Amino acid sequence: MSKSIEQQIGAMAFQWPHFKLMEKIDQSATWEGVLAPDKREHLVRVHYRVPMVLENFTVLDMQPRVQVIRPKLEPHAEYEQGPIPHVYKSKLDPSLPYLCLFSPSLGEWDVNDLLAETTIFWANEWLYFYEGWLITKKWRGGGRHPSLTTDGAKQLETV
Amino acid sequence: MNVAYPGPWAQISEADALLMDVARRIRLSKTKYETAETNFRALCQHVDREGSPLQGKVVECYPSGSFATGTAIASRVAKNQHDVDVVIELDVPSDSPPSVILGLLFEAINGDPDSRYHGMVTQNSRCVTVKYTDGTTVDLMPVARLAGQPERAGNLFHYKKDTGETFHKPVNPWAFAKEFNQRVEVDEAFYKSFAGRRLLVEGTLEKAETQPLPDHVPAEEKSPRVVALQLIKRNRDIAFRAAARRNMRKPPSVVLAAIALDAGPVASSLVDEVINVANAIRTKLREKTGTRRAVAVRNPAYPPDLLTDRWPENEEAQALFDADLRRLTIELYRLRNEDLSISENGEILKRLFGETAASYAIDSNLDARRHQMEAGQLQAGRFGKIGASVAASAAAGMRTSPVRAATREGGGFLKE
Repeated sequence: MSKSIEQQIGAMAFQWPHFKLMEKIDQSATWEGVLAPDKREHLVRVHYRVPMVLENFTVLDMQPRVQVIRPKLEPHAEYEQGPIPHVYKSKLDPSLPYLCLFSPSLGEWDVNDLLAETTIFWANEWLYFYEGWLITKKWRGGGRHPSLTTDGAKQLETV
Repeated sequence: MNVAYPGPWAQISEADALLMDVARRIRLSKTKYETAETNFRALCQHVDREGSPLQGKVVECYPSGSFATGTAIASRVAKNQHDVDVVIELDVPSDSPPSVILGLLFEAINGDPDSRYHGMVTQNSRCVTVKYTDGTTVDLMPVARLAGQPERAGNLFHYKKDTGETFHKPVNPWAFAKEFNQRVEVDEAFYKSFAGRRLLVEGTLEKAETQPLPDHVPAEEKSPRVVALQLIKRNRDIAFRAAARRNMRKPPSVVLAAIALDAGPVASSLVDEVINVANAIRTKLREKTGTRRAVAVRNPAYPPDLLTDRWPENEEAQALFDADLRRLTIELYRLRNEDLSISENGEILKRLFGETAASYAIDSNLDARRHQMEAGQLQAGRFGKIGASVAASAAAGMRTSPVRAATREGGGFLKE
């Protein structure tokens, strides 16, 4: 049974009270709040839509979308895994990529999970290692990369 | 999950963890210790060889200074180079002319043009230095035993070619090392923290939980005082790299070690212990009971051996080092007490211990955090602060770490 948007909003308000609910439309919600895992503050936007009961979806497509609004993520093509490590590109606004926070193929998150207990912590950890990446020029936060083979199948490389 | 043992892990502060990482980087590896031992033993055999001007005159050969007290660090960390001080006891009259003994030792090592060490040898005022191709040096200090004195007490030979200054000085490095190693406190809790930190950085923490304190653990892993001395010496080396100090004499390690023996009880935190030892040295420097209006520190195991006979040369030299230690303690207070970013931590460590050690510590801390994260043990405070105290959040019933670890993926586009 997937968590309802009301359950997600309630958990967010309890666990992350400084995250503000910016918008709620039907079964979708958008929050904005500050995360400062190192010292610098990052304004983060989280958008999530609960899939409908009969909707045919994949976790990859339905996952919560997390973007860093301010300060914008700095691209550094010359750094390890640059220009920005572990993100999905955004066609709507290339300066606001979505953070890659878990492995959909490993089933590390699904619609039964509370964002407050998973997504926000993982975004926070992502930002911590991003701060480290800016200083050391090396991504030390682990993970793996899906890459497409010539026949379009996904391959994963552990880093 | 790469961490086989999911915790709970011993809690140490981030400042202590960073100093432990620095200490691991500046120390000498076991291999380096073994190589150093092989090198100096070969040297002593070379001095004693058939045809050498000192053939049959070598009584004993043993490391002194940092190598004997477990406080050795690399002199050049990035290149992993180190300097070894060795006493070579010679069967010669203790009142032999210093210029003759030092000259004989130089000739004995330098040998013929085609011999092993030829061209690698320099004669100094109290020792003969051999510099190896990797930059490592061995200082061989000739000593002649004094009759009727404690075990291994002897005269060293001082001769300065440029000024003609010459004298004998009673010393006993062997007795100092023995006393230091007997008196310096070991602490199993510290060993567990130190070893546990390394294993957390490497992602193999489960070993720390199952291995008892082995007998062969070197002193520097068991004693916070020894590690504190290593860090203070590294800070001293960095300060004396400045161009303005190029020809100045550094405070000798043996002086720092002797003062550290009287620094009171060992602190449980490494940061506190470094501050403790630095403050003890600063307090001692205020005594100024020696000649030249400077401090006098004697070998506690053999008081005729004045350890401060060459440093400090004057009050200014002493004041300079006092100011260095003051800066060290202020920076360590910041590291311990303030809410610093990864970058700010790195800058402090760089100023105190140099870029190589600082970068290693920052990388190690990120690796440790990653392994905590992969074990679902990385806690976050208010606004997600990593490494902050999370007691308040936990008390309120809120989660302080995610329900489980996750693997970063990414690449390509998402449907929008």
